[in-house]
Amino acid sequence: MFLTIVIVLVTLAIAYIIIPPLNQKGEKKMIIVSSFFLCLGAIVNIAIGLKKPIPSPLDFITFIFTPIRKFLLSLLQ
Amino acid sequence: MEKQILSSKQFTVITLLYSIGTGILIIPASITNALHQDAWIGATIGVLLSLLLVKLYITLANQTPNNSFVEANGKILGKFLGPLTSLGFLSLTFLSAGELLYFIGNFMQTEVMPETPTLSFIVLFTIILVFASYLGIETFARSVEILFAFFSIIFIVFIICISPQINILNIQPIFEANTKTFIISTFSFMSVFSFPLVVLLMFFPSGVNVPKAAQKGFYLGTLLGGVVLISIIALSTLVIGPTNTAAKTFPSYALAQRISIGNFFQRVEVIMAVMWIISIYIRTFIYFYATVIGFGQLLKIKDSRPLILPLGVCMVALAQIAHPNIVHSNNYNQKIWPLYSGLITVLLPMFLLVVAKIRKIKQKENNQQSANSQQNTNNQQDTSSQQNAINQQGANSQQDANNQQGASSQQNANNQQSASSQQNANNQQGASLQQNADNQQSASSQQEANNQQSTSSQQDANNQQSASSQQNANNQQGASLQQNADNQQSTSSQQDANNQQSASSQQDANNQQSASSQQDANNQQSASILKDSISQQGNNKQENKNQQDASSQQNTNNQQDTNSQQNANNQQSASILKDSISQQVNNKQENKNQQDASSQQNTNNQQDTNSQQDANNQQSASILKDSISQQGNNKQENKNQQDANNQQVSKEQQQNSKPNETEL
Repeated sequence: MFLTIVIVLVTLAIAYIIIPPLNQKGEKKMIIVSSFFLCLGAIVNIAIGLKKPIPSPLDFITFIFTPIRKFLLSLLQ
Repeated sequence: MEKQILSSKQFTVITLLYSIGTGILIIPASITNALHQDAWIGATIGVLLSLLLVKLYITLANQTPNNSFVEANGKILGKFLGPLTSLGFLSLTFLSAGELLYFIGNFMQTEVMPETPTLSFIVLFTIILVFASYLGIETFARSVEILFAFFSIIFIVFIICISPQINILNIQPIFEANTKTFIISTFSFMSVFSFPLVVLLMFFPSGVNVPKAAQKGFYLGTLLGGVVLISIIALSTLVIGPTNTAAKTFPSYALAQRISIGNFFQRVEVIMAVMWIISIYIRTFIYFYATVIGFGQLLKIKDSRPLILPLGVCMVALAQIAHPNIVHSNNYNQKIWPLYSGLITVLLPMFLLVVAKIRKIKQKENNQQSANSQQNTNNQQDTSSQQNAINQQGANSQQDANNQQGASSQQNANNQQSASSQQNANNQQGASLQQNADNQQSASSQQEANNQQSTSSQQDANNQQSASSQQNANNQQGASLQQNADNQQSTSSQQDANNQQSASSQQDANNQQSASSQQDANNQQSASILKDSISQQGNNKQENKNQQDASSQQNTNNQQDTNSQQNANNQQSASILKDSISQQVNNKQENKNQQDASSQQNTNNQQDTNSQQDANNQQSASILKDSISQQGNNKQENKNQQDANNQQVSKEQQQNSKPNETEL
């Protein structure tokens, strides 16, 4: 719980640092992209802090490449 | 952020430490597991094959020398497929960065501080990475040079201290493993050691100042990194035996634990940890920075700094969930990672290379560059006289229009002058003779444009040359198109001090060049250019005077710009005196305008006028008349131009000044 509060504070601090200068310059695209990444990171961090089971992206890569590996190994046999 | 340039020595050191990466801790276990006591043979073959791979990367990088890997993807594969493969590449770098952060936290917690949660190590390391990314890769490269000194000292001490415990019998029997195992484990070794070298293509030709030396550095770094790894693997096998090496997770750490010299030099295994932290920091930073820069280039954003902190937060999250336990990590690294990285770091570059050869990407670039240069030279040579005169006058007003046309020397000349605003246009045209005069002017304004265009180098050269009779300029241009121009300009700018136009310094040089070049051989120009540039800058009336002394011709040109003072034009030639005066008048006007508008602009105008003047002067008496008339026209044009051009010039100047500013 404490960790969640810390993460939220840090995220707000980062947003405060990044977004107003971009707003002044008027770079809309950059604001959207950075806030997207920031929210994504914050959400996943909070979920990890609350000990929810999050699947690793490397599992996704493993899932894609395991059949390919089997196929290649069968070629070498 | 402004463009970051690495030196080739820095690039060598980065390659060396980057290729070592996590290998120094992880590789001995996995390769000894497969090959037992022949692990060092597998590693040697792997290193030799890696050199071939580096050759592939260098060939691919040379297809698009000014673009990073992500940009090259877009360029070679087109608008749709390019970003797709870039996305795959960026996923590789991003996930690897997160995974390496996990390794650091895991290692620290396992071996050094078991009670601390891994999150603290991860956050601390991420803070360092984010901080380094904000400072850019130039700063990082300098720090790597220092860290490399540490690393090599520690490594040599380590080798010396552990050597007394070598048991040579541990390496027997030799060549016991069969071929298939050799192939698979060499492939695994290369996947950790040299496949990730493709990420360095993000910086390789586009961010390095001397490509040839950097190529050698690429090879050398890979080779030396391989030597380090081979020695670590061999030492592990020789000292603690193949079975023990295969059994441990961090065998080289165990190796360091065994160092004991005279019962005094003991328990120094944390030194091994320092070596490992250095190499993994460099690898993680390169992955992370390539992700940040790659995203910026993928989304066509100029400055990707705001992305650093959000991506850092995402990486912290990724590092905590990357591998739940060591079994998962081993499984991923030995079974999946070679295929995943092999697909993106070997097959993709091969594919890109084939497509680039088919589409003849390299030829297109060379054609563009040669075309630009031809134009510049043509411009210079032809109508130089006419163009110079015309250019000067027309340049100011016509700047953009004229420049583009280069076709008509006169136009080009005019354009060049007007080019200051048109800058880009002039740059292109700069090829044409007119450009000489114009180039100088346009050079100042177009500085940016010139730079952009390979021809721009010509233009700059043109500018320089315009200052010095076109011929000289051409030579200058040919010799070092951009360099000459830049040098001249920069020198002049430096000299001038007046360079007021920080950006215009180049311009000034250009101006000076045009002024001086026309009249005398380049020699005069170079000397005078510096001086002229000073004088031209009008800011320095004094300079003009000085310049005049230095190079009568040049000074005259310069003076005209800066102040009426510049009667120096008269110096250039009696016939030109009239022209110079007229030019000066124009210059005065321009100068005034410039001052108002922006020093840069004025200089541009001045340059233009100067170039015009100079061009006129140079061209010969016949031109004098033209110049005079031109000047009258120029005056008008200048005025008009100044108003209109001020904006343009200011832009140009800004452009010109931008490089100066960044330098500052």
